[in-house]
Order: sequence, then structure tokens, then C-alpha cells
Amino acid sequence: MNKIRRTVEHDVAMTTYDYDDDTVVVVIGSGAGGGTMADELSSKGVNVVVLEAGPRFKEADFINDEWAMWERFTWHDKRTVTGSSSIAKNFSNAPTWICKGVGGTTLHWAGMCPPLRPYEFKTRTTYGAIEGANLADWPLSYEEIESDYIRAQIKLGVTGRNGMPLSPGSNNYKILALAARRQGYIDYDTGNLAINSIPADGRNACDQIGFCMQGCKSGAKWSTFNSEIPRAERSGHCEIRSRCMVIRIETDQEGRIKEVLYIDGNGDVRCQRARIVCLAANAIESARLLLNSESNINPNGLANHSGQVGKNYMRHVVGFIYGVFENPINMYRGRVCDGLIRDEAKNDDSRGFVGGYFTAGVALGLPFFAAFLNPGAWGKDFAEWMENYDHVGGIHFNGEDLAVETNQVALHPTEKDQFGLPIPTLNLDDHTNDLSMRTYANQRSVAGLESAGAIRVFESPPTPASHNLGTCRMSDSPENGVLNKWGQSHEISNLFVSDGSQFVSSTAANPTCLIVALAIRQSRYIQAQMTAGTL
Amino acid sequence: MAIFNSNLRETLIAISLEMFPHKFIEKSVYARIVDSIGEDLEERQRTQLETGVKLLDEKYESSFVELTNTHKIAALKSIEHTAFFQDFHGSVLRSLYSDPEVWLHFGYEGPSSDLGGYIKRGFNDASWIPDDQ
Repeated sequence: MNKIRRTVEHDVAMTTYDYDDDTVVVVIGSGAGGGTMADELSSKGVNVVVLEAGPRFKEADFINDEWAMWERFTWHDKRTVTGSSSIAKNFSNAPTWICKGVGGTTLHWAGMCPPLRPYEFKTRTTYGAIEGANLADWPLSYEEIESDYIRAQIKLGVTGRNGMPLSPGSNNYKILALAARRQGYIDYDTGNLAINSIPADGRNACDQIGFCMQGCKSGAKWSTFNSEIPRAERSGHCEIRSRCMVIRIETDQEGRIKEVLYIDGNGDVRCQRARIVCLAANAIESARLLLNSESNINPNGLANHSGQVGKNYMRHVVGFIYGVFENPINMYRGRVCDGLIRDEAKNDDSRGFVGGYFTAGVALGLPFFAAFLNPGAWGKDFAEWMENYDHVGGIHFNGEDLAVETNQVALHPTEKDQFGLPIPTLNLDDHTNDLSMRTYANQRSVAGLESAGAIRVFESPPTPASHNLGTCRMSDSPENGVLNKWGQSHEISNLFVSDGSQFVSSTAANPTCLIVALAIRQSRYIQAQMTAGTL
Repeated sequence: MAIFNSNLRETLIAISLEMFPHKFIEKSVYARIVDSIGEDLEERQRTQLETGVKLLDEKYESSFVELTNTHKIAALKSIEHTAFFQDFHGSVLRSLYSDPEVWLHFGYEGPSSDLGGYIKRGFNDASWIPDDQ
């Protein structure tokens, strides 16, 4: 097969903008949201400066080593966590797993793009008032986002959609498929993933390397690192500044965004003027930056008269279940999340909970399997379980997490980071709906693996979250949300949020494709407003 | 480069053997892991290990290395909530299961991109799994 030689390094002179250029759109963050904003805006001739906290990697920096890459591109800055969720106990110093680098968390994501369901945009109307939850309908319908969602799928090369073929299934997938059949599920296949099954978009097809979450070395997996960012730079309308940590967003006398303060790679404080700011620093840092940008006129933080910034923080209801089989599976050979069962992604409260979940394969290398199978475990039982490694098949589920107002990102009352700014503290409590869904999904998963022939199974606890959502939610009214249906602040017309913070419900699906769709939509709106002179 | 004194080293090796008892992995591998942990220690971490081992040795009449297996496990269980235990557990777990010699025993093949991935090296070779009902 011909291999496409892809480089994301560049030798041509890049466009640069002056610090006092107030005509540029400043995008904070270069992941699914920020990277897409940069690409979409620059392709329309809008000048963009991207400020990315992390470094600019090269493909050669990706190595097939789980721990080495975890060291290299994880967001390691401290956040603390409180609450009843098991995350507070098991992962108290590292409650999330997101990335720091050009490409954001698309560097490590596994590519999953399961479908959306229209009712997921109307959770308040559909589920009713659920005690303890802060449900709301999105201020846009599924129908309004659908065509952008399809554009996003095409951009990402999602398999099984829009002409990109499904990938072949690994050994681990065969177990998932067998379990699906024996449980009577009908809507399953090797899954909708942003990983090329054929060469496309200048990127290779998947070689089943099996290190999807350590940076894709073949380029088969879409990321803004290998797609949107290089394309934005080639447009001539985008400057990427890496190792630039934004510490504050400043307003002018009229309360509109004026400029962005950041620490650059040399440790110097810089100030970039901005016509418009698009904040896409992932749900924790985006909320934190708004809160840390407080002032006399905005004592509760920037754009936060609703008090909702940081609140309604959602992840997903997740679980990981491993089965030992009589013959080898060698699950590490192939895509990390091979396969998808969609039957349970529906709203059917006869199961004891609202909202739905997807089931997919999961495969870990030996190092990560040891760390996440049963965190903290040791001794004979643990060692015996580990010795089954090459006979283990894994599945995981990912389901809707209800918005709860007290699940939130706040500023730590005392602890500060290296720049003297309060670090984020998370509060995570399980809602009873989460517990019911997790119990049911675990039971179905165990039953599935056993029906496929597993001789023993293990239910692993939830891992640090890579899906972080909802902390600057959209709303119809400025009282109960931060943003309007375009992701634009209700209060400050030239401030946008472009990442998963916007989400009003988590949906059951992994969020990346919807984040990209919202950015496609938002960039179109911004460009139209700029042309009309309203922004 | 921090080198553990003999008793500290032997005790840490003994602890790692109880934490992750794999009969088919030789003691020399655990020793190598402990030595590699020793190479990268900050002062604070070194002190934590020294203090932790000292307290463990003082728990019973015999030092830790002299205890029976059953008593070793009981002793470790009694300190498994401590930072000393948890930090050392994490370090050993990470090093042991990242060790290419250990991989051979578990059937894990490790890095694959330089070998063309697994697409032609068995990614779907499990013909024993039925593909119908």
C-alpha cells in the first residue's frame, strides 16, 4: 500500500500578527474547539491568533509508550477534587486526563464519534424535572445542528458515515460482537471513529498500531494537530503561538473584550489585543479563566452575571469491564476502542434511569492495564488477574451524565499555581441516575462478556475523565446560562466559548464531533457578524 | 545517583515481591526495578522510603525481611493506607509492567508502529471466536 508521507512541521514563513493588532480573533486553545475555529475562520479570510498553553509536538515525539506519552502531553497542572464520586477517592490529584499541546485533547482521544439522538437537545422537556438535577433544553435543536454535524463527521473522516467505510474488527471487537449477538443487540458494528479505514484527506489508513491514545504515529486518527492547525497556517491567516498560557481576559470601559494577557514561552507577560475572543481551553480551564478574570465590574468573574460559570459540570457515566477467556485475545493489537453497540443509546426509563449509553470495546497495553484494572490493588489476587493479560478482552460504556448545579469547577480558596492564580477545584457527586445507569450498564456488560465465554470478569472503577463539559452552558435566557445559541456570551458580544463548556446536556456520545460541529456553526456566525460590522 | 543501603534495598525488594507476586519473574527483575526507582529520587521521597521501612521493621520482633510470607502480607496490609506504601506501590507498578523483559512473560508485544502496526501481525487472528451465534 502506498504510504502518504505526512509532515506537520513546516518550513515556510508563518504569518505573524502584532500584539497591538486589534482586528484579530484570538482563539484560546487549539483542540477540537479552538483548532476548528482557527481553521474555519482563517479559511474565510479572518485573521486568527491561537494561544496554546502547551508545546508544539512533532509526530516523531509520539512514541508507542503509554507512560512516556502520559508524561509528555498530559495537562499535569494540579486540580483538586471533592465529592462523593469515586474519582475523588481513586484519582484525587488527577481527576481528569486531558492534554497540553497544540492539538489539545485530540492528541490523545481514541476517535469515538457515536451518533447523537434528537431528544438529547431537549433533556428538560423529555425527562421532565428530575430532582437534584439542573436540566435544561439546549437553545438549539438537533435539526439546527444536523448539517454542521454531518460536516464535522466528514471533516473527521468518521467510519461508517458519509462514505468512509467501517474498519475491520480486531480480536477484541470479535468478543464485543459475539456478546452483542448473544444478548440480542442488533445495532452494532466496528464503530463510528475518526480513524481512516482508507487513505483520505492526505492521511494514511489505520495500521492497527494500538497506541491511539499516545499520539497516532500513522496520522490515520484525525486530530486538529494533523489537520486543522496545519491547514489554518497554510491559509496565511493564522498564527499559532505555543507555550502561551493565558492568565486573564481584559475588558475595556464599555465592558467589551479588549485584550488577552498571557505568559509566553520565555516566561514574559504579553498582551494581545483582540477584536473577538474565542475561549476553547477545555471545560475546566475555560471556566477557570473566566472566574480568574474578575474585576470591579465583574466581581463574580467575566461573563458570569448568571452565576453559572463553572457549574453544571458534566462528564459521562462510564465503566470498564474485562473478561478472561479460554484462548488468547491479545487485545492490545489494534484500535483502543474498537466496536460500538448502539441499542442502549435511547431514552427508556423502564431500565430505571433516563438517558442512554453506548458500549464499545476497550483495550489497554500491559502498563495501563496494571494501573487501571483495580487502582491501588496488590498481592496474590491482583497478580493472578494480571497473569491472564493476553487472554483478556475489554469493553467499556459511555452514557449520559445529568447536569447537576453543584457539580462544578471553582477557584480553590487557597492553593495557587506557578503564576499566583487560584487553581481549579472540582466537585463531583454522583446523581442517582448516574448510579442506576452505571449499575445497569455494568450488569449488561458482565452478562455480555459471560455470554461470549468469559470465565471470569472484573468491573473496573471509572477513570479520570477526558470528557469535560457544561461549565459555561448555553441557554435561552441570560439568567440560567452563560452563552446564547451561538456560543456567544449573553453579556459580552465579542466573547465566545468554543469548547465542550457550551454543552447543556452531555448526550450519550463522546463529545468531540459535536464540539467540532458547534465550532463550524459558530465560525460562520462570527464571520457573518464581522462582515455586517456588528462584531 | 542514590544507592540504597543493603537493608533498605533488600526490604524494598521484599515488599515489591509481595505487592506483585509473579512466580515466573525472577527476583533479579524486582531488584532491577528497585534500583531504577532509587536512581531518580528526590530527597523527600528518599526520606519517605527510609522512614517507611524503618517503621515497618519496628512493627514486629523480626525485621520485615525475616518475617514469614503471611506475616509480611499482614504487615503490608496494616500500612497500605500510608503515603509510603502508596507511593512505592505506584512506582513499582509502573516500572514493573513497563519492563520489556516482564512483557515477554505476559505476552505483551509493546511498540508496534516501527513494525507496521498489527494489521498484518495478528490483530484479528482469533479464529476460535465464533462469528455467528
